[in-house]
Amino acid sequence: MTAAPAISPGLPVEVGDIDRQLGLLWENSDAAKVRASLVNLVIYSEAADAIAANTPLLSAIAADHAFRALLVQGQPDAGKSGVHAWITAHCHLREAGKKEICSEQLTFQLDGPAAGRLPSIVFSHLDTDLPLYLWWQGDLHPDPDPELWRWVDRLIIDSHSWSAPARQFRILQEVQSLSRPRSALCDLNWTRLFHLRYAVAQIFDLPAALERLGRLDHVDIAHAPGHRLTALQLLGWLASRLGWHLDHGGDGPVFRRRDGGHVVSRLHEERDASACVPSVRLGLGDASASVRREENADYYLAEFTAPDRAPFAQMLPAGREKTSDILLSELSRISRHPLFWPSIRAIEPLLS
Amino acid sequence: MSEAVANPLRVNLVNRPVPDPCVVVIFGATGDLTRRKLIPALYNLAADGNLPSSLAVVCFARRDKTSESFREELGEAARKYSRRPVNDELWSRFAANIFYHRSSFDQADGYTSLGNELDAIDERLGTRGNRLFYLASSPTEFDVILENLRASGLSHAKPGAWSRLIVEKPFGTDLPSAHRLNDAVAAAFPESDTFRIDHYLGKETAQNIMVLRFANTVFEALWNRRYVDNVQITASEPLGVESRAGYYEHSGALRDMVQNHLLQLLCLTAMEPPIDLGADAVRNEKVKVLQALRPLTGEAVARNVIRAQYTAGFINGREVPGYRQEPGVAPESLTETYVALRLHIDNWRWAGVPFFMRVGKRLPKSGTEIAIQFRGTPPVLFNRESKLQDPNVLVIRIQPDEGISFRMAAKMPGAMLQLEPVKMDFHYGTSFGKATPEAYERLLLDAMSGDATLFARRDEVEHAWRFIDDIRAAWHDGAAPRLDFYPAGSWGPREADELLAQDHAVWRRL
Repeated sequence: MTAAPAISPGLPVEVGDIDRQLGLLWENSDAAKVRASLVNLVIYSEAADAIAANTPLLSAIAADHAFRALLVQGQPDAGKSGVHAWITAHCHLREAGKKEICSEQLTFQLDGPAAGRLPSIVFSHLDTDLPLYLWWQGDLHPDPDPELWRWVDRLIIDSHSWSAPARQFRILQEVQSLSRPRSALCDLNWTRLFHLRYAVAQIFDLPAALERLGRLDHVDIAHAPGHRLTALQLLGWLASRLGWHLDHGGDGPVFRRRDGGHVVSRLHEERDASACVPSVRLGLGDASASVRREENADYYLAEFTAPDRAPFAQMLPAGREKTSDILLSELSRISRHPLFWPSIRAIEPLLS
Repeated sequence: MSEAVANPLRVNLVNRPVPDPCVVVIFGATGDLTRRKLIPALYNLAADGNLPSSLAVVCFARRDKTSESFREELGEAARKYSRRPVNDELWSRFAANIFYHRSSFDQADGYTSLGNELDAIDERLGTRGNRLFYLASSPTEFDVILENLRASGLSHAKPGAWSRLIVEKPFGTDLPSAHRLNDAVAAAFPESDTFRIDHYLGKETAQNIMVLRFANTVFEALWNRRYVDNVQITASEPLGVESRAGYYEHSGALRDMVQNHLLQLLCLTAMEPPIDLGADAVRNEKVKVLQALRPLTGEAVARNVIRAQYTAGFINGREVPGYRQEPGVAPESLTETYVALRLHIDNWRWAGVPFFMRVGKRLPKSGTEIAIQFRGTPPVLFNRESKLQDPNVLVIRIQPDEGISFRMAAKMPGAMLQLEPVKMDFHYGTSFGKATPEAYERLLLDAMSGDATLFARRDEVEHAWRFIDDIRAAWHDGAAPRLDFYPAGSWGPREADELLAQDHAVWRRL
């Protein structure tokens, strides 16, 4: 097997000849390589650079999580209908002396009316019996195709890239209604917040912090340019977990607590932020809690100060923020994200 | 754990219990276990964000050291043995809560001052009076440590807090000593707060045995005397006795490996489905397996147990000495470095199915596995006498190269009807690329969270010793078996092959 440059989709093949060509690819490979797959990972994108951007990403993911990838670039606005296909494999040596582990990538470019044939392309090339994960990049189509969605085991989206989040979340709900009950939804923007939510939660394992949680009155979240929605999801998580209701929106949304008190929130953009959400600070009356990530740090610093106790500080993993790392994090946790929709609903009026 | 549960921000973040803030007190902390396993495990838990909000480690040992000097030593050890690179800032924050407490184990004052130190740590760091005492010292010190923990009141949990004990194996050297140790433990700690570590149970593949059996319809349906011909459990290693001659001369393979690790694997393989995944439900089923083990006494030992010792030979082409020539080993030593056993579990599921077990040093390669050998097909169609087929085998590889494989027959391509065995193989490392946590990480986390599922209970340990003691008694009574010999680098003595031949079986070649 010849190793394709990571950015290349590999060997051009006829669509009807893919299975045979894949067979040849493995027949001609050396014995030190082994094909592996845990999931069918389908990526659909209509971006002009979809293939060039996703091929290296798949190569990076393959190092830790074996798959059969179907990378599909849809170009519905292209004049002439056509389907182009390539095959390649991403091989990684995980341990010296062991075989290289290879994941297959099948790449399709669907031009013009052929872009509407996504289900046909996907269903013809899945690895039998393995779960189907569909990562839909960019905006969802307004008229979801039930034929496709009902076979998806895990739908992955990244709301961070959406142009009109309020509308997109409505489409997403429709898509979910078409899916099987067992299928899961994952917003990578929500996954991005996992370590931050974990660090915030860790502070409130301290009795002194927990007893003040009901009196939380200020939330201050810094976010990188383009990550207001990420910060909003964090705010939504706090609001849904603590039973707040939005009182009024605007630049500084105010929530009403269960006890009738108010929580004033502030989301502010940090131009030079090196993380999507580099810090969150919570005012708790006479005490305060904060989680922040210094530039290029691998860890968050979670802190709590109150007049009646010694300051608390703990370092907690911050995770990486490259898209491939976020996706890997999702693939390795396989959560069903039961708190996602309640968090979105808590900040729904703030989405538009 | 009550505070953690009440924390509404914790909900649905991770699907495991959140450990409580606590102080881990390691007795015998200057030993190898602390450097190689415990501190690297705790550091990796910190790096993964799995430690509670407050955690301190108090290292209790005799040698003259300070907290500062000991932190430095442990820092070097963490850099050497941690499975992930050490982050300097994280290490310094983690290490700031490691304290050295100098005292001999029999010095009552040392425990009084330990109690004062723990109270001060609670006050300063918010560890809430929770204590996890870890006996990492020589087993000969266990009694005195336990007695002092009891006498000083440290083993007694404060209101609203817990006090737990982790005991490292060996849990005694025979049934009477295990009784004594367990009594000493029970005098200080209730069984529910006692965590006996068998690190095999912390391995991913060992944990996966239950998943394989009870989360997959196809295997459990075949997991009984109707379909299983025999079960083989193997633990082989090419290493010799290395620097452990002093210990090994007294222990031997039977007590070093069979009493704990291999019988645990046997229990997981043979047990009935527990009513839930709680610690007691799982351990109840494991105990039932040990209770159903047909005792081996007197002549039955001669018929069902082979013991042997390695002689000089070659491992990987390198000449190695025989056991009796190893430093620290008596020239006339009768210690077994290899044991093979044929066991029977006298219950409805397994009646008549032999369980073969073997463990040995200086065998050709390293591997621990459980092989379920299924019955052959009837002697018609493909399995006629002239063309006997290899039966199906399901292999669970515990280490290394953790995974599961299944052997079946397939037709070779071509005009001839020729069948060949083929193997379906699942490798953890291939499918799940990420590094799996060390067994000690999982076990420490479970102990901090109060989950005893992966730890041995008193009755398990004692039933296992009862079974082992019968075999050893027969050896010492001269009721055989004699000590056999095998050259280093071979798969054990010829007599072990003959043991299986009586059941028309052969040992698997790893």
